[in-house]
Amino acid sequence: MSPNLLLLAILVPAAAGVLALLMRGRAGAVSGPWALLATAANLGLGIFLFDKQADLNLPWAGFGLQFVLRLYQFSGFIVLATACFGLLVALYSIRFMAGRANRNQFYGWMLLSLAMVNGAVLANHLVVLLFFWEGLLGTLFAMIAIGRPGAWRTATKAFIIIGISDVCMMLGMALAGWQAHTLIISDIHLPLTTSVCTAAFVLLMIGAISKGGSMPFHSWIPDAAVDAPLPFMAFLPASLEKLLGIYWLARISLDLFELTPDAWVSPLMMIVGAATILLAVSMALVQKDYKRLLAYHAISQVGYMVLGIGTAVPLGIVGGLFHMLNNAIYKSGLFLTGGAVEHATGTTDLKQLGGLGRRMPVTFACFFILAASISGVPWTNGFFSKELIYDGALARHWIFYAAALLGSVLTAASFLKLGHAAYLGKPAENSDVKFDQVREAPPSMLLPIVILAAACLVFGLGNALPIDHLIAPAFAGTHFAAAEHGAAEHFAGWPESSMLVLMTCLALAAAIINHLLGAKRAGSGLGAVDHIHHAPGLAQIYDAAGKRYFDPYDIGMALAKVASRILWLIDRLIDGVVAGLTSGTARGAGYAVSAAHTGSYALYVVWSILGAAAVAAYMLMH
Amino acid sequence: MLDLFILAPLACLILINLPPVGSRRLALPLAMVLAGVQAIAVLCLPYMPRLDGPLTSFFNFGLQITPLGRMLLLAVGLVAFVSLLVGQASLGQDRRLWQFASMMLLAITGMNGAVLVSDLFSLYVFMEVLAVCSFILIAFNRDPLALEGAFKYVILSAVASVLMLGSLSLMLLVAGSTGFAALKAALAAGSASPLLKLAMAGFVCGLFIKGGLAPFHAWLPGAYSSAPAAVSVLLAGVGTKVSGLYALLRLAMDVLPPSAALGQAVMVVGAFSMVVGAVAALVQKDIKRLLAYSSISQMGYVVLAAGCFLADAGSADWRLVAAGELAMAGAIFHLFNHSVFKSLLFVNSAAVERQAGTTDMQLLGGLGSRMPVTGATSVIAALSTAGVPPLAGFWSKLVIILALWQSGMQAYALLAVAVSVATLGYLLLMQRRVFFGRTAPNLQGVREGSEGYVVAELILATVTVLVGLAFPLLMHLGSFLLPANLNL
Amino acid sequence: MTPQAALIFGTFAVGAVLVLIVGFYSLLSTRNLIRSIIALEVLTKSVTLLIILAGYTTAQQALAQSLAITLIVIEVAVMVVGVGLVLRIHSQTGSIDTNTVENIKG
Repeated sequence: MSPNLLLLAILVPAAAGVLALLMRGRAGAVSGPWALLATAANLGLGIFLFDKQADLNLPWAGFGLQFVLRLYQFSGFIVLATACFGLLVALYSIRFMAGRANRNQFYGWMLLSLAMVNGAVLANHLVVLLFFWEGLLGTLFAMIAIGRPGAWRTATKAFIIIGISDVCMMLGMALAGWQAHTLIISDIHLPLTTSVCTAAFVLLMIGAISKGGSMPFHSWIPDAAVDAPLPFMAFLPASLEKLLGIYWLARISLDLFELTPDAWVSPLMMIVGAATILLAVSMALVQKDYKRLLAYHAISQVGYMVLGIGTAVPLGIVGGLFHMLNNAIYKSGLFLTGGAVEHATGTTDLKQLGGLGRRMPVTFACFFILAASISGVPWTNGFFSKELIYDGALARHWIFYAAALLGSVLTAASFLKLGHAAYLGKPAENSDVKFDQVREAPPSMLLPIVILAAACLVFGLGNALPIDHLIAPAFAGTHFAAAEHGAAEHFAGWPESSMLVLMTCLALAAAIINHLLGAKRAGSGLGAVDHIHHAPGLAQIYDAAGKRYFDPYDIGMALAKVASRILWLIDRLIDGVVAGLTSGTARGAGYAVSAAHTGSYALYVVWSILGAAAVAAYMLMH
Repeated sequence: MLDLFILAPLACLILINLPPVGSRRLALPLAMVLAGVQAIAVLCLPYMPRLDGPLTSFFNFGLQITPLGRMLLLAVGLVAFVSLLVGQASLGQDRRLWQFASMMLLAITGMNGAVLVSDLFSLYVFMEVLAVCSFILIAFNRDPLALEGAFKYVILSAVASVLMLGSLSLMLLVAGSTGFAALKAALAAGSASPLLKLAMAGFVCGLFIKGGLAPFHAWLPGAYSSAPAAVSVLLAGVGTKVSGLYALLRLAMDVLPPSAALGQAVMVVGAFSMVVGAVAALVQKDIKRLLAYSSISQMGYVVLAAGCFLADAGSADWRLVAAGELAMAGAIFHLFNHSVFKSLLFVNSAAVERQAGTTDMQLLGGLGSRMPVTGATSVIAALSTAGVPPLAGFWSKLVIILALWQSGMQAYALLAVAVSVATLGYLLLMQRRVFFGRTAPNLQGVREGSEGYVVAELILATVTVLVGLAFPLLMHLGSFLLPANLNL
Repeated sequence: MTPQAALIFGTFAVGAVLVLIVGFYSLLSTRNLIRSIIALEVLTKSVTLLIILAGYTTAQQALAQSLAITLIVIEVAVMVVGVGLVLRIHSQTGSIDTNTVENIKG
């Protein structure tokens, strides 16, 4: 297989995307099927490239920058996964985006994002990776900005947040490249012993987790959930960005640096992960909008992945990676159900929904499976990945395990609330939704949801397939493989520790009980967690969070405003001095010279003679 | 076959003016064709077979083509073509158009001849041919100010001739011949003699007057600003450049001995010109006068670089010698670029003058929207003059500044950078006052210039952009624009 | 050089320089445009003299003569143009005072 085929993985979606961008106006109707075709081609390419090895090395810009791509098990797996999601979202979007004015832009930017992700995943040179990583930033901005009017503010927010973390990542890359004396990723193997290496790791980690949507780089995601077109949410934040971000996190933990439990970045990652889980799921709990709730969960689930990889034990890392895959599946599925609801009823405000389960049975059934997966119900894929993470966390310290478990409880509670409020119960009164006109989602939208729900079950029941074939090969060549329990350990199958399973079941039971009690007290599914929301102490925090006091972006922007005002004043001062002084002198000199030219040719001749005399004198003297 | 460059324009001139045969209506088109053919011929010169023309075989003229000369022939062809276009557009209905074309042809003869000869006196002769044509062309429309400008040019040109010829006689005293080779030998042998030092200083100062370097420059603003539009284009583009600057560069490379003192003196004059030109341009109210001072300033760069070459050429350190050669390359390239962008600026001012009726910046404003091509090309030319990448001016200035820095003359390099900033300043000021801003009420009806102006602007703008973009390539091809004896 | 040649050389050299000085003085101090043209003529003559002198000293009289003749021709052309300009200035302004050519300032 020629290495040049790797270029196709980037060029095919990129070219398709550019063409889609050109299909303006009426031609937009073609862009949907075109995107479907392109993503199918991309999937075909992904399948072809999977499980092969190839290295591509082309001269690129000057200065010794090479365009280096590397296909190996891990990168091939991610390319295949992103291709699958691309196809599913394209299929879904044909119906969802039908009739919208700028749908060709949606498909165009979507295809370009696929190209960027492929490039970033296949990249084996830090600068190439950075190039595609940043390209993804641009397409992200575009995909958000074409949503509701005013969405560009959210797009700008996302751009700034991810941009800042990307700058950190650039610094990290510079440090790593400097320490390793090479920019080729597969050649970098640094120990986490010196402070420079650790700093590089932390900076790169910031870039990776920010891409995945972890705290504190998360605050654009809930806003984007509301402002951007919904398939975008299923596409980028739910699946592609997680895949890419956690892929990179795994690379830096396994390949570029040797993450061991005694490095202090490991507890750091675990704390960040645990905090993300808990804080985000607490916010999710009290959301009253379908999409915002899902968005906060997206943030929360990244916490699991970061926690898993941060444990620095093989169990946890495998769990984290498996969770990355699973989350992508069920999160995008959940977003797609939200889109189906929005398509059928015109809203995602939970206060106006209810009882949709009867009218949209397939959607509800898939939602049930997906929600069960995200909650970690036994035999779903979420269950297995969470168990692995619990195992790894417990191997480090019980507190992380407790945090993860609590997170699961709250996750389950919030999904019980969501499901009850949207699908069960009675349709809400005083709602704008015409419930008798609600019908099941069209097949082209249902199919991706069904596929994803089915995948949850397949990857759950047959978890040997993904774990042994997709994830474990990621360990090949890392410092873990060298350890005794490398490839020999078998991660798939029912979890070893039955106690953990028991704890999980207890946790789920607790969530169910909590929900039933709360629902009874509040009188509806929607109010099932109101007792937590309005609990003393928590109520104030939730209020403040609702007013965006805790949004790091807003805090940062306020500080930036103050700083910029101060700098502006300093600038005025400098400007006055410099501009006044220099332009004044220049002008003065100009007038003097100008006045010297009196118009009399005799004067000019005198100047010439004097000048010649001066030159001659100088020459005669030297 | 090099004589064709001299004979062809001369033949056309005679043809136009012979009463029975010559047709006055064909005068200008014929001149344009000649200029265009010259520009193209120069580009094809390496690929043409050598033919011995009548002059070389009969008169034993000794014509020689150097890379510098080739580049100037290209500039002459290009700028003459453009100037004729503008002349036709501005003088269109004048019955004396054929006289204009005739004078232009003679000027072209003079310039080509100056560039091709290898003898100092012949150089002087052709320079005077050009000068006489310039006098007549400046005063062509008999405007009182134009007559004044031409008259001052006559006076100072004569003073320059006196200086040059006096120095020539001193050199003749020592060398016994006026050919470049003989002079080079004699100067190298006797360079310590006070007589020869005086001679070199005198000749160089004469060239300074012709080229318009400060403090020998004072005729230049008057002549450029009062001349008719097409003539300003020719003068600013190639007239003064061939007379003063070409001669200086040629002498620096082929005749003058490496001399630190002369080099320093030349550099001081160059630096002085740069500063005086830029500073005076900042306060000008008339577009053409501003552009004239700008020319003085840009020629300061060329002379500064030439001085650096002279100062470094005799050094024992090969790195300094290489820096000097780099400076000379930069000077030559800047000369060419200047021909292109300065002509472009003058064509723009010609268009503005024609359409708006004035070149007083205080009366103009907001023409950019009404004259889009002129405005856009003016921006390109301004940026190229100021040395903004990726236009041509950037590369030539960069080379000069780098060469100065490498020669250890960091102060001059920094001065050059500062003057570049000032250049950007006054050019943008001009741009703003003329093209941006609100349109004055009496200018509401102004439209874009006629095709002559537009075509001329587009040609020159294209050349400057292409040269700028292609320069890195040209450097690798070790090319056309840089003298062959440099190894970069 | 033989003493006789040196004497001739010296005399003519000094003479040429004197003529040069006279020419410059006249150019700078006159208020009459025609006189300034004449001053230019005088200057050019002094330089012609220098050239002939150089030819004499180096025994290259043929070369010097041809140079001098060419120079005279060129100078005539320049002067004709100069006088033409003065004539036209006079026909437009009625004066040949130097202040008619002091209008371009700054």
